[in-house]
Amino acid sequence: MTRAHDQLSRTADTIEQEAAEWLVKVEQDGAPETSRALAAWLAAHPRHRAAFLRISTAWRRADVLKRLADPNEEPDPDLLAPERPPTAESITEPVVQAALAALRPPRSSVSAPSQVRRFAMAAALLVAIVGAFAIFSDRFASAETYATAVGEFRRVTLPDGSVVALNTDTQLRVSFSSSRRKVELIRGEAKFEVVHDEKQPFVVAAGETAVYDVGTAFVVRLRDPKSVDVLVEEGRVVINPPSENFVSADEMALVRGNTIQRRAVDDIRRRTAWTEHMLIFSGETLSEAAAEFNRYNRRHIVITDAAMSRQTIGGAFNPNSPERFATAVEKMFGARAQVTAGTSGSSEIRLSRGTH
Amino acid sequence: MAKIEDRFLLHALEFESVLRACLYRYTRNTSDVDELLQETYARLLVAGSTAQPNVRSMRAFCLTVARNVALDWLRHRQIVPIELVADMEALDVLDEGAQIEEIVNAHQELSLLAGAVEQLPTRCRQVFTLRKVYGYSQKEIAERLQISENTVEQHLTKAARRCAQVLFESPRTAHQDNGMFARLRRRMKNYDESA
Repeated sequence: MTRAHDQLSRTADTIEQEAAEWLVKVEQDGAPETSRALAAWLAAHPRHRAAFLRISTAWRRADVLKRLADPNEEPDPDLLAPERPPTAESITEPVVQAALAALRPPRSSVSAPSQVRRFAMAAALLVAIVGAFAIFSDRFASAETYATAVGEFRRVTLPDGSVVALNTDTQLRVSFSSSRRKVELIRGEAKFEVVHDEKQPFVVAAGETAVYDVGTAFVVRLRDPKSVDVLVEEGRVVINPPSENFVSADEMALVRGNTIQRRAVDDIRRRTAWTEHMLIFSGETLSEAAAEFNRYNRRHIVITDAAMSRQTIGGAFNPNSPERFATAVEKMFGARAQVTAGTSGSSEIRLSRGTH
Repeated sequence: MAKIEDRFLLHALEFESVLRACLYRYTRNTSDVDELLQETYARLLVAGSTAQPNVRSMRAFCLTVARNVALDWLRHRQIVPIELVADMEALDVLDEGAQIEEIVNAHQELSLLAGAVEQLPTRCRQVFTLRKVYGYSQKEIAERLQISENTVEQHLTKAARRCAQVLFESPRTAHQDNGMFARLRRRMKNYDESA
């Protein structure tokens, strides 16, 4: 099977295309040669047959669309055109009419003037809210501190509705005034889902770095005062304005002293899995995974064998259970896990090459 | 029309999105999921053609095959999967619970398809509409729209692929993904409690 997969890797798309072409071909051409040729193609590999079966099943099911045909009307190739206003001519039966109404996405039937009116109302409401907030914001001006212990997670909703998720061993201080919302990341890592408000910018200060939100969800990790990681999930942030260091969605910025290194990331969900109380690895080495676990636990994992620490792993884990991780490593690598008294007072899990 | 050896694959099509989510846990990218899914279907056909002992749950069986395909793939890439292998049983039980929401009735299927047709390029949409709504033959379509039969074929090929996508693959992708996290979390909790 693995061999077959090698042979056919990166071909799912090609096979599906061929299957669709065969389907369309045999549908109109019943010649024996065609059937024989198809049979040969199908017999060539189970994946051919699988793709053909899948697409022909879908094709047959699409016959349900016949219900939309009105026998009293001339066939209309544009029956299912988008944004087509239903007319008395094209739709007669109320059943069909109802079906079509349900099928179409809501048309923007709102006339321009009423859209403007709606916008004006929203704007007025916003001004009222912002005004009220400015008046009462003194209440929120006092600083509030939030923290998590090692292995703890916490979600906090701030007075403006923004949500902060605190990762393990994190401390931050929130101080809101009428002119700005400031969060000082004193230690650790946090994810911010910010309610955007131009009049009252949202700033995360981490060590020597300040991250200004431009309407967004992002993660800031303070490694030390001179090195900060910023990961943007949605929208855009700017680092240390008035610089032009914008970081957009699916990008990461590594601030190291005076330099900022930006790079694209394609696995944001995996990197922010801690907000779901999970650690997801995908090809990391054992030592990288252990280092990650050690952020979440007092009981540290120590890998004693250099060769083993370079092995790669994949999987989803509970960050609070280094024991489960160790057990899994034992099983999969034939390693041996031993709990010993560690250097820092807590016990540690030593993973070594197994003898069994 | 349906043959006995096709039974696993035909069953699996009904919860392709679950299989995709399952495979995605190993691959973390969708193009590899496409590959592994096709391989899974191929293996389900092979399994269907050989005498099988009583399969207690078709769904659990299909998921097991998908996981074996993924594990082979990971092994081949020399990424050793851990944990995910450890307690698949629990996951199967949880997956069973999701079954109800996946039953798409004919009406929903009609709206899914019609929505997909709207999104097709104009010519492709017209060709497909004449074929599937009005039952024109390919030749008749070519005449009516003044295009070659070959072009008609190409449009229908494209439309057929779109149908498969909308019927099997995409309907519930969005919340499927969130469900995946919820299931994994529950699974880990169960495991920790039993450990």
